[in-house]
Amino acid sequence: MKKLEIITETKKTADLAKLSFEKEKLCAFEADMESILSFVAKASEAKKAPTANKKCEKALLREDIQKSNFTKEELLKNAPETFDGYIATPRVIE
Amino acid sequence: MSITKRTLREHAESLRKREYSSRELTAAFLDNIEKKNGEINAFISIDRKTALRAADKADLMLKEENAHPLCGIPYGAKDNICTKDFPTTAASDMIRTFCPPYNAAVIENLTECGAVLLGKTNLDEFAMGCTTETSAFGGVKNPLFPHLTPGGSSGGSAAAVAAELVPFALGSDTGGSIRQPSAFCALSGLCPTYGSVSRFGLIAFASSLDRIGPITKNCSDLYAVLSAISKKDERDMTCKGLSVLFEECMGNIKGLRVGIAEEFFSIGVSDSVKKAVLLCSEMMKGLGAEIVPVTLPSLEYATAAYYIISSAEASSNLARYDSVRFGHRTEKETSSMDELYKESRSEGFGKEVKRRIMLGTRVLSADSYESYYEKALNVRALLKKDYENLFEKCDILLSPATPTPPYKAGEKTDPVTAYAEDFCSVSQSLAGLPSLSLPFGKDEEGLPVSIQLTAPAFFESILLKAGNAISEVIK
Repeated sequence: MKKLEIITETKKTADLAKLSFEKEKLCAFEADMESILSFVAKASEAKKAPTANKKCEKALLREDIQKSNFTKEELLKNAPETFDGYIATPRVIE
Repeated sequence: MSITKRTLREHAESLRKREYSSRELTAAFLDNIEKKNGEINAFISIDRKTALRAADKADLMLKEENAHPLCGIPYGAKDNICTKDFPTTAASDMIRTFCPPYNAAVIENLTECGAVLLGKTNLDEFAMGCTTETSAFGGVKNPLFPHLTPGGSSGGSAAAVAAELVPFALGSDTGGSIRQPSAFCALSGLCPTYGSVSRFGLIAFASSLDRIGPITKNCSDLYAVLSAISKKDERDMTCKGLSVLFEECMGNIKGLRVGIAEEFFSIGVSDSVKKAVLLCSEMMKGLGAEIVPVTLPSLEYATAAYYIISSAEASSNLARYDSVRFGHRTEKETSSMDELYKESRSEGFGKEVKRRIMLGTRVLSADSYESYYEKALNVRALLKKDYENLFEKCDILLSPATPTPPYKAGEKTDPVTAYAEDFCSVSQSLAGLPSLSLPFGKDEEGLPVSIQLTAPAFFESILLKAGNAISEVIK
């Protein structure tokens, strides 16, 4: 893959992951990613397991009944910014 | 002998006999922390006042006849385990000031027993690492060999026990993060069966792999902690709990079939580690066990599969850190929510965490999913089958805990070199099996060497029985 394409691929992944990198760091990161992807590509060499396409067992679920009783104040305590009992964020709607 | 040198069981006995109180014991460990933690950095935070209050409460509980063996015993909890109204940072700038509104299930269980939490131990950021060097609060020194790493990611918990800052600590293990630091600090570390200990309140790394377990000085101390924390919990529907009696963990190992798989002795395992495993097998044979050659054909793919699956799950779990409801928020001016997320997350997460998120996002992306993630799930299925077949031939698997004794801090900077070191522990994680790391002497340079025992799911009793039998001999 050409270098420009590689950086674009990494930039695409960063966008999906909601991460941003400075240009120089992106290049360094790409070198890491390439070597790690080569390392983990080993998994593709394994033979096919007999149960490989078996659907997962049905997950056990509990009753959808509210059990916890946190107050609004308790839950807002960790918000970076609050206003009048709401979480405050930068403007998102014009 | 200094009070802090004693084992958990010795403390439990002395507290019952009123030889000293929980307050005196707690104060002694807190003093030790004050003297040594500045150098070792095992603890991120200490809550002295709350600890002494809990110790006083434990002293009242100790007056009752049915007080739990852990009543009055101080401990440390890895700082990815939520503690109500007390900072839980995951050693990350992302949630440096986060105070959970609830306790993790394991903290509730230990509080109910009367155990005394002293503080939160250091770790690799979000439990991603094997040296505790990625912590936003600085690295941890190995108390036995200060120029060497204590391992990770539960390096703080292991160092805290090794330095006699607490008699036991809780760690978490996704791909070896209890077992490897236990080995590097010459301690006993138990990674329980997936589903035996509730993950409620454990800051998620990889939800199908994460487990909480104890790190102690001696194997015989593990039972009390395991039995206290392995309760069924509806808040974690993967948790079935574990029922194990003390008597099942003691006794001789005559007739026990001990498997040794050659695949664990590939390139990269040091001669001293190979020698330790061999000596251990001979010792177990001397105790009446039968040594059985077994095979784990898919082991060579395990590390690759582990890093694909764990990173994929991590990328999903860490998506919640968007700076909106909690966590670090950038102070830069941002013109959209997307920019807010990116700036905040890029500032808050360290390099290794970003690396894992990027890898996880990549292997789950539409054009890579089949080539990586599906292939990793295939390997996981193969390994589960391999272990099923293996445990038809033996009752317990004996293998190295780590490929080498502890190495210098800063030595493994290349990610692939570091990841490759995990092959001794990741296959058991992928199969959800319980594993015990047990110290087994020293190499020619005096460095600790450990062996690992693995049992079928929910057979921690066999692990502890074998571990106790071995420990008795090497005492």
